[in-house]
Amino acid sequence: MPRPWLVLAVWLLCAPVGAQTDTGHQAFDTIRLAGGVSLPLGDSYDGRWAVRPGAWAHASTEFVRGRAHLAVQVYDNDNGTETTPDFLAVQGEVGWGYPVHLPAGISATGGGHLGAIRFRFRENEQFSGFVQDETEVTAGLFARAEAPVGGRLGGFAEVHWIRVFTAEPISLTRVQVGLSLTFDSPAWARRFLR
Amino acid sequence: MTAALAFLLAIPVVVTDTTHVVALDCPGGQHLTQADIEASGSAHLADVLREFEGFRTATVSGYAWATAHAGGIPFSRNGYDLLLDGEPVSTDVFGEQDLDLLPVPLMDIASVTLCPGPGLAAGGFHSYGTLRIETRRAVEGVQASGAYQVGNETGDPGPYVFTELVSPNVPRIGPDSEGSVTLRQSGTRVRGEGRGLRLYPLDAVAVRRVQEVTARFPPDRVPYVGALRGRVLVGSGEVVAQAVGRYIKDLWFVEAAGRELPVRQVNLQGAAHGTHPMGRGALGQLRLDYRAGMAYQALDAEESLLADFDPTWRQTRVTASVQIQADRGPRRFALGGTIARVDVSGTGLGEKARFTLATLFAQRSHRPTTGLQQRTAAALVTAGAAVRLKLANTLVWRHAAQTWSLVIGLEGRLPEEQPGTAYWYTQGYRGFVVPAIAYVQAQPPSARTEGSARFGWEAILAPGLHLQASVAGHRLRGLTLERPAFRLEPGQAAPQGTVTVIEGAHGETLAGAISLRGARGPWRGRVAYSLLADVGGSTAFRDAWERVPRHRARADATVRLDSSFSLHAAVTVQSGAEWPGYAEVSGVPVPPFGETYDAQVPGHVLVDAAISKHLWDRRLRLSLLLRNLLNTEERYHPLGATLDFRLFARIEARLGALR
Repeated sequence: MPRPWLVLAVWLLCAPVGAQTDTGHQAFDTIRLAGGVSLPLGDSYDGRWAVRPGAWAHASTEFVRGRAHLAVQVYDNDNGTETTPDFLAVQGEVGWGYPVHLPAGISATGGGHLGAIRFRFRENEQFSGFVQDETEVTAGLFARAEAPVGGRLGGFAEVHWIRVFTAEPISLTRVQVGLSLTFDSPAWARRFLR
Repeated sequence: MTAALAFLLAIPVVVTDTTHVVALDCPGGQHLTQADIEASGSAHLADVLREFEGFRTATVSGYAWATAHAGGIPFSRNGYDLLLDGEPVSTDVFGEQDLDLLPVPLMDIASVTLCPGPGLAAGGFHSYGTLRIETRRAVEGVQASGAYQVGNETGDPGPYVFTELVSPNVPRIGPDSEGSVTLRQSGTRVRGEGRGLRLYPLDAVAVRRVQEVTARFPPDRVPYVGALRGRVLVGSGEVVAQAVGRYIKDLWFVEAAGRELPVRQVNLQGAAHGTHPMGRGALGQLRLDYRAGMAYQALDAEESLLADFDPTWRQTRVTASVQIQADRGPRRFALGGTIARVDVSGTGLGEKARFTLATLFAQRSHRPTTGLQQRTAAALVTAGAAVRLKLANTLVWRHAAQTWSLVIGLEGRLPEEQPGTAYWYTQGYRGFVVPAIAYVQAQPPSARTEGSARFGWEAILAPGLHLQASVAGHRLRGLTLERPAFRLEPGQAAPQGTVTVIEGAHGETLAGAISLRGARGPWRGRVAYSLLADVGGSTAFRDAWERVPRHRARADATVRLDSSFSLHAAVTVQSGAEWPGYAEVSGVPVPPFGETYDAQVPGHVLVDAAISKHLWDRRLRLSLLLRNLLNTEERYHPLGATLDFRLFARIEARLGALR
């Protein structure tokens, strides 16, 4: 398991060197919608559940010298036994990252996020007396690379690390890949957000 | 409104830009603006108490908070009386006040001011000062506001609930909702307010104790509060009227029972206040103030599993007061009286219990020289044949950028002024008696006396840099204290033992506080320290004060990156305390999870953070609050929940303009 805090600290220290930031933009100038698939990295539950590939979507905009985002991801967790139920995890978050612009239109962004995760347990007669879902607080870090594909379309890859604040803490690391679409914020949306 | 309030109180109110109040009415006062409350990320009304120096707060559930202050008995009653827009309000049940039972939505609060000294305000004598909540002023037309909030404490088992790593659930907070609608037209204002909150006290040490007493599943505490308040101009004067209703499905921790009790409380209050100018007399410009009010309180068992538990309680309190004020330049006078009639019926009370409390009061304030102000207040209170005198003298001297104040109070207090559990037990009320706890009372509560002196100093050291310091001493005699001696049998979740009522307890306390506040550009910051301790007294008194954490230090900083976005962080360090009477419940495993109670309440270092963002021309506000980021052991009571790292998300909407 990588040490996400250390990776982000190194990135933030290196980021200003020879890099150009988003300071040319005002808050909420553009909106970027992105979506794709997410793949698990490593073991998250000490072998009790297998984390399956999932889907994710996010929206981001310029905010306080960086980009703020709202994101949601969904994935399944299979146990493969009769004694423990499978569950669906839905995680929502709000985050902020500091972008660095590199040659060829590539940008790299590192930051943190806060959110909540909902575990929805599969219905099963054996567990009818148990709770059917639980919601927990999450926090984490991410490192994202974006590259232009053509026009407003971009490619997107991200390493996304989440800490779930359960009594026995859960760490989830996923790789997210997908496409993004960037467009100017509509005037009404800019007014609303500002 | 502020002008009207200032006239009513016959004092000038001066509020500086950095949350200090320097006035004869409120020497040593601490003031929070709406911006301070928003930036600090307060999730509940009780959270604002964290922002004031000089208090210590304690809770069992993490929701209802009691306070300790330099006077009185720690954690038995809040150290202030409540004024909402200048009008007295109360959430009092057997001497306990829960700030979150006030109807006003957090987002409608314009300011909160804590005035610590004794004296007259709003037609009454307030021994430990007042907590003054002012709501936002409405402009002409209709305005509406609403807020929705969810909270989550970390530490639940999550999916591990199905494995050998299973752990107990932790409390759930919310969802909470609140809102108001205000109509203002031609000087008439009507405001409807409502709040609905929810808490599930599921902490590992409390869950069995709570499940034993109630059929609710999951057990919850749900207060609903609504109010209708109005102000109308009548001739050259004005009349303010308010009606408040509360319905609370409660799990109320009562120390005399050693556990939470499942009760339903219904509370209805109505009050009116008129002010009318009476022209000019020999004493100067005269003004008449009159108030009338009625409060009804009903308490019953709610989904109780406790055998023979019957807390039935009905109380009606009718009050009336009149006051004449005279304003003659630098001299001001007030003379008036209050009468309160209380009728009670309930479990164990053979016939209705009742008493009548009458108070005559007078106040004189003047400015002998430039910068010097002096005020003397006196009150004579009587119930039956007993009579007691209260005196408070306030001296404020302001010179250049500095203000010195001295407040001296001498007070006799009758048991009827703050009747608590012990008083009503003497009258025969047995609503909170549970078989596991023997409530032992040899004598009825008697009158008590209290002397206090408070010296304060405030200075503007440089533009944007304010220093505030105070030291206060209290001498208390004739106190009635409840002294628990609990034990815990193996396999039991609730304590057993005795609660002994001690009469005639006495002692002295010392309180000191110093805070430095600064503002520069977008930054606001504060460092503060306070001491609160007993310095002598009887054994029962000192045992009661053992519960109070002596030291508290705090540092916070807020940065407002633009007019709509702020970040706030606070570090609070508080010493630990010992709760005598709970030693024998310590260390015994509590079912079902084998957690243990601990008579030693640990000291803690709390780190909180908050983010607040306004949108849509300030019609919307989003806020995120993170409490106890270090996940340190935050616990305030031997039987209480441990409050882990928790997060609150809040959204507020405001339609129409409110200032």
